[in-house]
Amino acid sequence: MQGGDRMEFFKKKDLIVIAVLLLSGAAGAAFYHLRPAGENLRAEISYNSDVIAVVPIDGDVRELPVPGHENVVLSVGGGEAAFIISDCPDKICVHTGRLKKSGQSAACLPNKIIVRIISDKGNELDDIAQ
Amino acid sequence: MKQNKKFNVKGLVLLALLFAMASVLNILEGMLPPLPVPGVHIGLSNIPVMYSLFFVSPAGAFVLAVLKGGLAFITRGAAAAFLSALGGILSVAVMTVIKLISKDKASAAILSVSGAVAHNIGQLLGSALMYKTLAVLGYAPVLLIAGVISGILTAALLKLLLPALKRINR
Repeated sequence: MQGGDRMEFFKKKDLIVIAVLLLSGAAGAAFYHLRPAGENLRAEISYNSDVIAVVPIDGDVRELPVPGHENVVLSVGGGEAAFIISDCPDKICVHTGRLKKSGQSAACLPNKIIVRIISDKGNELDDIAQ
Repeated sequence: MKQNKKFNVKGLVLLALLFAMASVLNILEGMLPPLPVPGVHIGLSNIPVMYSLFFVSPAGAFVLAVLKGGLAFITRGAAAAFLSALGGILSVAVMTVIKLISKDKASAAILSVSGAVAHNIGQLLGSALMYKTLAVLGYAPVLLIAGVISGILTAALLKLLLPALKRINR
């Protein structure tokens, strides 16, 4: 048996690494959340990576069953979009909550449905990647 | 009779026990109430993987990561298996590299934190690949912070469980 009991549980130096990780997480979150929401926001609904519908999210709040996949229902309107009903086991999509800004997305992996907010300026993160 | 030294029965049984433990912990974690942050797990089933990596062999830890992917395939389907295996293998790879370059001086906590963060990043990259969009990367900060917390937590639990784990590996 190698190593044995000699492995230390925690070192002071670890705090530096942990602080760096937490700070980069906080910086990333700040960068992501403090940017403007974008103009002319629309919810882009895709199934299996193919866009099946693009719906404006201004206007009155309404329930919208996903076309062709009525087991999943979105709430769209008032500048927001969200999954409200899904038959998937984990409900991660519903728990993701409301999407308000360009680039935000919620995914229902079991149903292969992704909702993403897009704006006239396009998706910033994907623009950076391209 | 000549004995085949490559066939290590003790190591095999230990690996099987660790995988059984990981499976039970995985199911147990599924029974806990979901955390308020979507997609974030405590990662209890990583405890046997870390035990294998720290005190037995990195090769065994890799085998466990792959087996955990197989378990995810049976219980949650192909997409979950792909993400589980990708996260698990990247996590073990990162922990192994850090353990090697620090010449076994890295603490359990820092290995666990790096492993948990790598696990989350692996899963995030996996879902970016699966859905051909980088929009999911907006979730990276949350998963980074969650990785640090779950890493510290699982390292503490490993420390707590170490006497019991040693008893099966005498």
